[in-house]
Amino acid sequence: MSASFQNEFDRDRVAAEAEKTLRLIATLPAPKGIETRVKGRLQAVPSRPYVIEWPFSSRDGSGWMRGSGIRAAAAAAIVLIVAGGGWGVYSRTHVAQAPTALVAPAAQGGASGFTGANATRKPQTVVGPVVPTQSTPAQKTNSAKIAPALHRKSRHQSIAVKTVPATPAVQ
Amino acid sequence: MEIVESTVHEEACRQAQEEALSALVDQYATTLYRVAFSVLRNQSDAEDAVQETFLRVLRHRETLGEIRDHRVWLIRIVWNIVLDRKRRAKTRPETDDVAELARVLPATGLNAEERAAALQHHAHVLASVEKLPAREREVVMLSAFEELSSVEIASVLGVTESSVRSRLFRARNLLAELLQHPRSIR
Repeated sequence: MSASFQNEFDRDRVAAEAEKTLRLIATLPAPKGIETRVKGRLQAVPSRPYVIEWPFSSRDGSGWMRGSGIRAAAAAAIVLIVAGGGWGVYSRTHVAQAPTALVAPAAQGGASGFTGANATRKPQTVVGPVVPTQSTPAQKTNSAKIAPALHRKSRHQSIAVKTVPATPAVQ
Repeated sequence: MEIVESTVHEEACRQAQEEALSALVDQYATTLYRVAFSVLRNQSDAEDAVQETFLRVLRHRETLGEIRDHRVWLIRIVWNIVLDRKRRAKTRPETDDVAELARVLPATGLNAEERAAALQHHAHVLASVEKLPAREREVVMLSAFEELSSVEIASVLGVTESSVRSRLFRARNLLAELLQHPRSIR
């Protein structure tokens, strides 16, 4: 009990000593002439805020722009100029209409899907070697059967005939 | 004619405001300097803070008539300025504080050894104060000004009076703890 009391007493004493230091600093005198220097600085500041003034207005406030009618007319003129300028820009601007449908370019080339892409110059390609095909006896009989059947079809009917090339005999 | 009269009136108002401002400088410049110095601990910085305070007042001189307590109002302005400056500036080394204190503290009645010991003690106290949490530190520093009551401190800090008292109680305990056991940091 007495130890805690002693502790508390010590704590108060230490805190009081610390506050004494702070109080000492708080009571330090200000440097001499501080008021004069502050006043001098305040006088150096322009009393009127620096703004760009209308060149024809007088400093005493009796300039021609002080009249309310003239001020209203000037304001109206500014509004008209701004509005006219805006309308001029708007009327000269032509906004392109968005296309309603897209036209796809005509497909070129055969069924293989490869085209020349409308190129002006096309490189000469080397013609590859042609391998002679040897038709087998079975194919010969097939073609002999198909030929009369094709002749029997009507002329108006379009028939896509896809002949299967014979397997080249690679030697 | 009306315009001329109003201009004359404006000029008279401006003149009155300048006189009021001049009176405020005469009356409170030293108080504001001491508040600023207690935080910044540098003569030229404190004087700059005082000048900035009155420049702010000059900018808002139209509101001078609406202020009830000019002293508390001015202390509040300078307090915000010095806290802002301290926040922006790098932490001053402790040796700078001691050197500045040695320059400004009165040395009458102290020999060289006592003076050195006193300076060391002050430096130790200031270092401990710096370790306090911001809220407690602000209250304990403002309470060192005998001319400021707890109500006025509350007004400067923008808190209630009971809050000032509780913070001051906490600050004293923490400060004593830090001075007795320097390594105890909360």
